[in-house]
Amino acid sequence: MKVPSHPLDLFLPLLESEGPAVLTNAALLEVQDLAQLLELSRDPRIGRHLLARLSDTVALVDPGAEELLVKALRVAGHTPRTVKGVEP
Amino acid sequence: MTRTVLPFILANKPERVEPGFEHLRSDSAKRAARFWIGKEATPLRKAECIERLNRAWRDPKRVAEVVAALRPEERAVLAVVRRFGGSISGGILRRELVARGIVKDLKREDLGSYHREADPVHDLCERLLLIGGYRDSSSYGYSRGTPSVTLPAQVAAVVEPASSLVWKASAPLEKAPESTRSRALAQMMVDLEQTTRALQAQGGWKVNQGGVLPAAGRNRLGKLLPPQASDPFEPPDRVAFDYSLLCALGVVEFDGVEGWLEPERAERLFHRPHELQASEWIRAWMALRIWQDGIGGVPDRDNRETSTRIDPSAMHKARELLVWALTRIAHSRNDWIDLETFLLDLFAVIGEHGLSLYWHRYTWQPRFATAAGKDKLPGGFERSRAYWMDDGGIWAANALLSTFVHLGVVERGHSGGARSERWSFRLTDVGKAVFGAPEVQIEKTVGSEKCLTIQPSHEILLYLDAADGGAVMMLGRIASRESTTGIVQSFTLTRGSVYGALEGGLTPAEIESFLTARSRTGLPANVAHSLAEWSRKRDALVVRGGVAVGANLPDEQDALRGRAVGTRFVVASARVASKGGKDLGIALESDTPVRNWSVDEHGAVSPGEPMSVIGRARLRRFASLSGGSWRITSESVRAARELGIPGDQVLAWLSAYLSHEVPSVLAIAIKNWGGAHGKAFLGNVVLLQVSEPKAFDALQRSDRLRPFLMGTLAPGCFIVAADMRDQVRKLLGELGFALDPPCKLESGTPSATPTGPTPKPKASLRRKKTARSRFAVIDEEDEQER
Repeated sequence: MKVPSHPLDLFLPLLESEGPAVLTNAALLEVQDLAQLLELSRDPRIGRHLLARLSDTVALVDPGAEELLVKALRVAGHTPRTVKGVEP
Repeated sequence: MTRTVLPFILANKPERVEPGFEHLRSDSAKRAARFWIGKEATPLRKAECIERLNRAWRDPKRVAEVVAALRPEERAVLAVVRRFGGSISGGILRRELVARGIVKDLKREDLGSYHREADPVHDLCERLLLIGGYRDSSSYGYSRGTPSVTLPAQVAAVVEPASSLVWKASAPLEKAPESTRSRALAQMMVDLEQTTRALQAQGGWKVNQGGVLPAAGRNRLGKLLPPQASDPFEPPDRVAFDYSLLCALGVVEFDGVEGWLEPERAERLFHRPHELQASEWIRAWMALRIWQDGIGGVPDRDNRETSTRIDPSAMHKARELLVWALTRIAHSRNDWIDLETFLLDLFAVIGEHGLSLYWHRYTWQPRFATAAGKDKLPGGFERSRAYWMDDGGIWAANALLSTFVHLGVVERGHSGGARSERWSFRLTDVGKAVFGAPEVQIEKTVGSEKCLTIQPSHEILLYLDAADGGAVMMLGRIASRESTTGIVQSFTLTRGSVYGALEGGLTPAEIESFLTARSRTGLPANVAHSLAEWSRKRDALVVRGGVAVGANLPDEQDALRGRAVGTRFVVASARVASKGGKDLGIALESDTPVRNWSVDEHGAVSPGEPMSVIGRARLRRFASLSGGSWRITSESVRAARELGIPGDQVLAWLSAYLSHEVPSVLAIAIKNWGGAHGKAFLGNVVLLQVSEPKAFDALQRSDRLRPFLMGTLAPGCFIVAADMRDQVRKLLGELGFALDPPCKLESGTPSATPTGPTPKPKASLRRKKTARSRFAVIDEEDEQER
C-alpha cells in the first residue's frame, strides 16, 4: 500500500493542473492550521463540498457548493466568516 | 430636549388637482367665469369663458383676491380641508362642519326629504375653489349631501389650516379608575422588529389573496409570539396583526403569489423617533384590510354563505371616524373618559349610519347598560342607539381598549366588580402627541437613554420605558429574545446570535460600543471576553467566494497581483485576474464545465483535452488513475463515499462533463457503490408458463392448483413450489394441457446505449402453434433433460 506523503493527501489532495491556469469565480475555505483543515476534510458533511487543497490551510470549494458548505459548517457547530473577494 | 413635530394624523398627502375645464357645461362655465372674472364674462361664449377662467384660476394674485372675498363660512370650509392636508372624505368633512357650527346637523326627520340647505361646500365646488363634488357612493343619512373634496395647491397656499376641535364628554368620570393598564411603545417596536427578523430569515413566502399569510407561515411566526388566550384584551391573532401592519407600512410587499421583506424600509422605520413610528402605525392601522379589531386575521375576500369579515370600506370609514374623535380628545384635558359615555357621545356626533358594521362575534363583548333590553325598546332614537351600542359600539370598544392599548397610544382603566364594572380610557403621552399633532408635541431628552442591564450570564434586560427604536433594532440583531411580555424583557447574547450579527455586517467594536453605551451597569468583563472570543473563532474559519485562483503560473505571475498560497497558487481578485490572465496569454477557466468527456459501461473515462482543473479535481475524488487511464471502480466510488461524496453527487459531477448520457448500467452501479444497495434475485425457480390469457386466468382462480403455487412472476407466469412440481405436472395432464411447448421469452426493453444487436431467441424456445392449450414447466432440471 502506498503511504501518503502528506497527512491531507488521503482526504484532500493537492490541486493539480496540467499547465498554467486561472480559475475565475472560485470559492475557498481558509483555516488557521493544517490540523483544522484535516478535521474539516475528514468530516463527510463538510468534506463532500471540498475538491482539493491549495496549501495546508486553504482548500478549493466545489463550484456551486459554497452556500451548502457554509450551511454544513454551521450545522456542525462552526461559525465561518463569509466574505466575497479578496481583502485589501 | 427635542420635539418631533408630527403630521396631523388624518392629513392626506397633497394631490395636484385641476378642474376638468373641458368637461364643464356651458351654464357651469359661465357661472364660474362670472365669479372669477366678473360681469364682463356674461356675454362671452363657452370657449372664451373657459379660456379666461383657466387663466384667472392659475393666477396666484387673483386666487388670493377671490379667497379674501369669500364669506367667513366658506373660508372656514377651506381651512378645514387645508387642515386635512388638502383632501378630505365627505363623511369627516360633514362632521367637522357640524362640529364647528358651519352647517346644521340633519335631523332624523330630514333624512327622507330633499330640501336644499345652505351648502358652502357645494358653492365652493361650483366656483372651482374645491375640486370634487362627487357624492361619496357610501354617503347617505347624516353624511348625505357632503362630497369628498380636494383643495387645489394654489388655493391651499393662501388658506391657513383650521384650528383643532376639542371633545367634551357629556358626563365626566366621577373618580379615577381603580386599576389601569398601559403598554410601553417599545414593546410594539420589539414585536415588529422580531417579526421583521423572522420574515427576513424566510427570504420569500407564499401568500394568499391580498397578501394574507397562509396557516403554515402564521404558525412559523407564531412561535415568536406565544398566544395569551386568557386575556380578552390581547388583540386577536397577533401574528396576523403584526404582519398586516408591516404590509400596510410598506415593510412587507407582495404580489399575487409571493411576499417579501423590504429591509431598508424596515431599517428606516425602526430608526424614526418612537412617536413618529406610532403615528405611522395608526395610519397603517386605518388602512388594514387583512386584520380587523376584535376579530383577528381575515381573508381578503368575501364568502356568500358565511360572513368572513366586516366590509373593508365600512371598516376604513369606522376607523377614520374613531381617529377623528381621538384627535378631538387629544386637544381636551387629558382626563379619564368613561367608555360607555364616550360611545354614547360618539353616536350622538356621527349617528347610527356613521359607523355601522354588522358583526357579532367580537373577542371582547362588553355589556353596556344602554344596550340592555334593546329588543324591548320602542322604535326610535333609543332603540337605534341600543342596537348601535351592541354592534358599532363594541367594535369601537375593542379598537380603543384592545388595539390602541396594545399599540401604546391608549391607557385602559377599570373600576367596579363583575356586575358594576366600568371601563374607561385616556390617551398616553405618545397617544396625545400622535392624535393631537401638529399642535400637541412631546418633549424628550436628546441622545440615547441607558435602557439595558447586562448580566454576567449573558442575559440582557431591556427596559421598554426607556428604549428607542435604535436600541430595539440593535438588540434584535445581536441577541435572541427570551421573554415576550412585561415592561422589562430579557434577551440573551449567544455565540449564534452574535455570529448572525457579525455576518449581517456589524463589527465586534460596534456591538461592544452599543452594549457599553446603553448599559446601566456597564459591560461585564466576561461578556466582553465572550464577544472577543466568538469574533476570533469566526475569523479563524473563512469561506471566501468570488475570487480567482492562478495555478502553476509562469514567473510573471505578478500580473495577477494576488496573494501567494502554497508553492504553486495565487489567489487574486476576479477582476484583476481576468485581465492578468489575458496579459499572460493563459486561458481563463470558468466554473461552467466543457462537455467533452466520454465513459463506457466499464467505467473507463476519457476526459477531453485539455482537462480542466476543476474537472480533474472532481474526477480525482471518485475515479482512480492507473497507467494513464481514468477508471471509475467500486473501490474508487466507495472511497468517495467515505469522504462524504454520495453516488448521486458522483453522477452529477460526471454528467456535467460527458458529451453523452451516463450508461444506465454504470449509473446504477455508481449508485449501488455509493450506498444505494440495488437488490436483485438470482436463483432457480420452477416456472409454469401459460400463454393463453383465459387459461392463465382460469388456473389462477382454481382451488385445485392454488396449493402448489407460490405466486405469479408476470402475466402468464406462475412460480410453482419446487417440491410440488410432479403434482402440478400430473394435475395439468389431467386438465388436458400439453406439456411439450418451450418457454416463451421476450426480449428486454432496449437500453439508452445499446451494447449490440438483440440476439434472436433460440430455435428450441420459439413458440409452436398447436390446437391445444400450451404451458411450460421449466427449471434447471428441464433444461438438462432437453
